[in-house]
Amino acid sequence: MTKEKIKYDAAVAEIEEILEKIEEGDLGVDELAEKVNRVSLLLKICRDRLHATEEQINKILDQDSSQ
Amino acid sequence: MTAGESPSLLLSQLLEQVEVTLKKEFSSSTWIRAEILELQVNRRGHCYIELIEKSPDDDSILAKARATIWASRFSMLKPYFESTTGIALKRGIKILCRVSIGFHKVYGFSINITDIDPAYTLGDLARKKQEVIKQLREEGVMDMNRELPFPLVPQNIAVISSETAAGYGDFIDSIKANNQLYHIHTSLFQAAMQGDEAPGSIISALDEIHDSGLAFDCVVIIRGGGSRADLECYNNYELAYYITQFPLPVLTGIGHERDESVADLVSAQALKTPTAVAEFLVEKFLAFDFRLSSYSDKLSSLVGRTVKLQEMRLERLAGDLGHLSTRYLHRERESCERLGANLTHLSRAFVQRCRERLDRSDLGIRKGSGFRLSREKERLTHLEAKKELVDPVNIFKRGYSMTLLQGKALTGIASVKTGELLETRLKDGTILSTVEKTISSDDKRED
Repeated sequence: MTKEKIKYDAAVAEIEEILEKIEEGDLGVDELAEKVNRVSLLLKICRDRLHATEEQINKILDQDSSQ
Repeated sequence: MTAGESPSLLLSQLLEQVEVTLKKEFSSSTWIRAEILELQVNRRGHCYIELIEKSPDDDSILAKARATIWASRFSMLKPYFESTTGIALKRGIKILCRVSIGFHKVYGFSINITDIDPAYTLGDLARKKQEVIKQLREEGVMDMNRELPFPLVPQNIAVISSETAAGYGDFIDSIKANNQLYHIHTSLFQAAMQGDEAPGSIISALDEIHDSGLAFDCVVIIRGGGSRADLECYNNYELAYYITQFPLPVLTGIGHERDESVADLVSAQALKTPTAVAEFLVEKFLAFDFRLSSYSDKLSSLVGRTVKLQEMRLERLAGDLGHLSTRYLHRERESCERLGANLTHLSRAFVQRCRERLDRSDLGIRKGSGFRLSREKERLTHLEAKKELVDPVNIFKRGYSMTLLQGKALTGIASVKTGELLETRLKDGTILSTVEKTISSDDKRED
C-alpha cells in the first residue's frame, strides 16, 4: 500500500466528495471502480491514522497517570 | 502662730479618728469603675494594682489609687475573670470591681478589691472593638485583603509566629505531614504574638516580608499555646489596618474561642487554629490536584469519544461507499436496460414505419404501373394502327405498287437505264419487266 501523506480531514473530505459524486451520478462508469478503490484506500488510511493516534494518546495518558 | 494654747493630738490619735470615720462612712463595700494602670502579683500571690481614672476628653489623670486583691481572692477572681472575658487581667483594661476601704495607721489608705464583674470589661472591650471595626468600615478597607486573588497553589508561605510557640510547631507538623505529596515551603518571620507589643511586632514582621523581595504566595499569622486569654492585641486598629493594606492574602490562626478578633475579620481567611491553617493550605493543593485529575479524566473520555465518533464516521462512509456504488451500478444497469428496451421499441417502430412506407410505395407502384401499362397498351394500339396504316401490304391493297431495281426500292427514274430488269411488287405477287424507255415527268407531255 502506498504511504500517502494526506491529512485526515482532507482524506475524509475527499471521501465525502467522491461519495457525493457517486450519489449524484456525476461519475462515469469507467471512473467508478477507480474511485471506489480510492475511497477504500482513503478509508483505510483514515482508520489506520485514527487507531495510531488513539494508541499514541493512550500511551501518553498511561505514562501520565503512572507518574 | 503657736500651737501651745490649742489642744494637739498624737499622730496615732488622728489616724485613729480617720480610721473610725472611714469605717463609719464606708462600712459596706462599693462598686467602682476604674482602669488598671499597673498590676503586680507578689510571691505570696497577693495582687497589687494601680487604679486610675482618665479624662475621656484628654486622657489627663483625674484620680489614682492603689488597690489590693489578697491572694485568697485573687486565686479565684483571676481565672474566673479571664475565662469569662477571654482576656488577661492586666494593665490597660477597665474593670468594675467591688471594693472596701481600708485604713491602717502604719500602712495608710488602701482599697481592697473583693470582686470583679467581667461583664463590664467585656462590654468595654466590645465597644472598643466595634469602634475599630466602624473606623475600618468607614475607611472602606475592611474587605481589601479578602478581595485579593487567592493563589491556586499556595506553595511559598511566609509565617509570622514565634518559634517557640506550640501553634507554630503544630502548623509545621501539619505541613510536613503532607510534604511527601506536595512541596510547601515556609519561611518564619519572628514576632511577639501576645501582649501589648504584639501589634507592633507583627507589623514589623509584615514589613520584613514585604521588603524581603521574596515571592511569597501568602502570609500566615499563627499563635497558639500560652495564654488563650490574651487576644486583645488582635483587635488593635493599626495591626488590622496594616493587614487590610498588605499586598498578599493574610491567613490567621490566632486561636480564638469566642468572637473573632478584628485581625481575623480583615484577613483573607480566618481559621481557629494553626493546624486548621495548615489543613486549609493543603486542601488547596488537594483541590488543585483533584482538578488536574478531573482534567485528565475528561481528556481521556473526550479522546475516547472523538475516536469513537471518527470511527463511526468512517464506518458510515464505508457503508455509504458500498451502498452508493451498488445503487450507482443498479441505476446504470436500469438505464442500460431502459436504453435496450428503447432500442427494441424504437427499432420495431422503425421497421414498422419502413414497412408502412414500403407498403405505401408498393401501392403506388401498383397504381402507377397499371396506369403506365394501360397507357403503353394504348400507345401500342395506336402504333399498331399506325403500322397498319403504313404497311405496304395495305397500301398495295389500295392499288399502290413498289418497284425495285437490283433489290432496292426505286424512288425516281434517274438511276434507271434502258434494258434493266425491274421488279414490281403488288398485293398478290411480283412482276418482272425490262425497261423500254424512261420518261421524265417533265417530258411526259412530249410522250
